[in-house]
Amino acid sequence: MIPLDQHTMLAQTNHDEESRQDFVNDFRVHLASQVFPGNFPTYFNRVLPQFVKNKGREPTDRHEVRKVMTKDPYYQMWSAMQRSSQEMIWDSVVDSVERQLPELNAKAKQSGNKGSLILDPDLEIPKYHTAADIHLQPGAYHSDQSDDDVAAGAVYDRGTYIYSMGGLGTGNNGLGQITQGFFKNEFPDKELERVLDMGCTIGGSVVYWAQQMPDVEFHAIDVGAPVLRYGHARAESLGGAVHFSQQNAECTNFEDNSFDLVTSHILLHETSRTAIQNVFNESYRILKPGGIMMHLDLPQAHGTPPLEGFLFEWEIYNNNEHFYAQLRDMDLVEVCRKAGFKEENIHPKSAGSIWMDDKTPYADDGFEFPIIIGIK
Amino acid sequence: MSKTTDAPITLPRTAKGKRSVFFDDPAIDQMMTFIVELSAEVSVVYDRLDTVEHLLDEKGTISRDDIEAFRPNEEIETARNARREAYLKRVFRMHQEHAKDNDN
Repeated sequence: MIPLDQHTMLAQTNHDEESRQDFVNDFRVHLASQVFPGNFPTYFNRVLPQFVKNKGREPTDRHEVRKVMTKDPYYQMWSAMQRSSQEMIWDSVVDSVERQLPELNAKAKQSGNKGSLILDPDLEIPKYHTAADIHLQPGAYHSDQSDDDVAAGAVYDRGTYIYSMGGLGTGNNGLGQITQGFFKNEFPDKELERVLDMGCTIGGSVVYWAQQMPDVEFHAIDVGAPVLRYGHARAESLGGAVHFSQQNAECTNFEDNSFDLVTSHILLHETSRTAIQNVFNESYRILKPGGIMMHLDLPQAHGTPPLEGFLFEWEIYNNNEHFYAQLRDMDLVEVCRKAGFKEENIHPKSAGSIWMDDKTPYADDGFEFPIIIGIK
Repeated sequence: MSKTTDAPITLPRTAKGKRSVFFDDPAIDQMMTFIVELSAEVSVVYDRLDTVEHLLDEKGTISRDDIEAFRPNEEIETARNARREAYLKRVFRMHQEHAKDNDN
């Protein structure tokens, strides 16, 4: 595994921890490249013919495929290994963080002040966040494990790098690279003074933006205190000036008409149907006239063939991504309309790794994230 | 939370939420965890042995600190990655006769 770029908050690995993390990364690469593809011939050569024999027709949607594929031993074996690999990501990272936590907490407390950090201990953590630990990260992003705690952030930093099998780049900022490259191409003349990133976790994306645009005022919000403490300290270490605050993107304390750009990076699919509408409403409210809303998220189900649709939803059912199921079938253009954006100012687009500066292992895989844009 | 900074902090190891069961017999799901975790440990031991061998080649004698301080250079890292890839292919070889002659 190519090592993550160093910064002062990154938990250091000992010899065996590094080796264990290398294994988990390589095991996931092995599953993705050698085992997962076997689901296709399994389906077309074994599961589908049996389905047709029984029903006299092919499955009409991903839900019908789910009923038969989940009974196939090949799919079961791949799934069991995939699930174990996901659990092992966190377990392989927690050792290093646990050992260094007091030191990391102290370092975060003494971090610089190019940006800032405001926490709200009274903030109600939404149910979609507390119902289950997202991505199986034990304790999720919001649980404090100690005083001035940064554990969730430290675990998230190394963990998501392995989760993405290096696809986020060695700066763990690949999604920020994608949105910024896309934005500059889409809106070359747009002047930015004030930008907000919603659901920032450790600020991987927004810190990249701040590094590239030092004259712009960047704000970033999340519901999780430990990821924000870590994110702020990480940003300071990397020289990105970002103002972090603990807020729910559905209802912020920012003034009306106060941002030129509001972004999020794979936030929506972790929230509920109601919350997504609220996030769009809130984006509209705080944007200046002419300001741009730009939310990047995971693919929706529209037009996806039944097998691909089913396989893509593995994470919903087996990786605590339950709320992604709601986003899969939502009409985000309609959500924009309801939020107040005019029809001609709503643009569903997509962007992928061609916009990244880094060459990641997946730089040319052609995968694209949908981006929904609304201009106020 | 609110533990004193002197006491060792224990972080959670299990995620909240119902764990998926993939096989008809959940014992097989449990066995898969054992097997994959054991494979990880074999890989870690192999890397450690590789470190010991490299250090012995270089110095003739080693300490535990030498092992902890050792970081593979690019050549060794490449060799380890290739060894791990071959190991994974060997240990996690899937039976998939049905997957042959796939024209889809």
